[in-house]
Amino acid sequence: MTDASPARVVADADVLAADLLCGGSAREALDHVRRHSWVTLVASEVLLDDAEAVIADLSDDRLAADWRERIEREAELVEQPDDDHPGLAAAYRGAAAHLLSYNDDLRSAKTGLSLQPHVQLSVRPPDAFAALFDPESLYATVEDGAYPGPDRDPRR
Amino acid sequence: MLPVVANVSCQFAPVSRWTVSPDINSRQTGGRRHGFWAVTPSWPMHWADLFERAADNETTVDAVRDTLTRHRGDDD
Repeated sequence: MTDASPARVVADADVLAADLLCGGSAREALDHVRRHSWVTLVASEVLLDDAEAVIADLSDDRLAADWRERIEREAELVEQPDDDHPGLAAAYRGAAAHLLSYNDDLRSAKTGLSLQPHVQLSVRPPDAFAALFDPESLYATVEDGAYPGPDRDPRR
Repeated sequence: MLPVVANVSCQFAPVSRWTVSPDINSRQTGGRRHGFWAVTPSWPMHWADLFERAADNETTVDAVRDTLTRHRGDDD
């Protein structure tokens, strides 16, 4: 089993696209990540390809391309086999403890049981992640010293 | 004569974040025959800019989910 870090987060393609196009809970959740330099957004090329395709389909190619350039500066990219589920594979390969997804199947008990022997992964919808994210206690787990507060502007 | 800038969704962004270039092939601002010059963002592109541009689409989470399901289904 890989040692997943609670400060490493994967957002599946639906959450990445919803963050840009819809706002709401997806943006609240990813704002937590953007606000803290010590929280890492993990992704893969395949995952970003999916999100970019969704964005291009629902808006336009230029916005999708600009989003891709911006997210690639933000995310830590990991390699993954093409046949694996992009969200799960990025979390596994990137040692992330959190996967944000709107997909009910990924959050089912059956999927949880099949993942358990391989990876310590919490799969949550973005609203649950946004509500439960506690930067103070998480900081104490992964960094030294007292939580200094947000250190980045989530809109830059 | 100064270039005419039109049809640019972020035209009120701070001037320092945008540059004007004579890209006559830009779809966003029309071609040479329309007399427009292109306005292209200079990096870094901020999340605020992207969110502002995306807001025009009024997309729902259900539409995002359906589109992703269709996209991943097509890949299989």
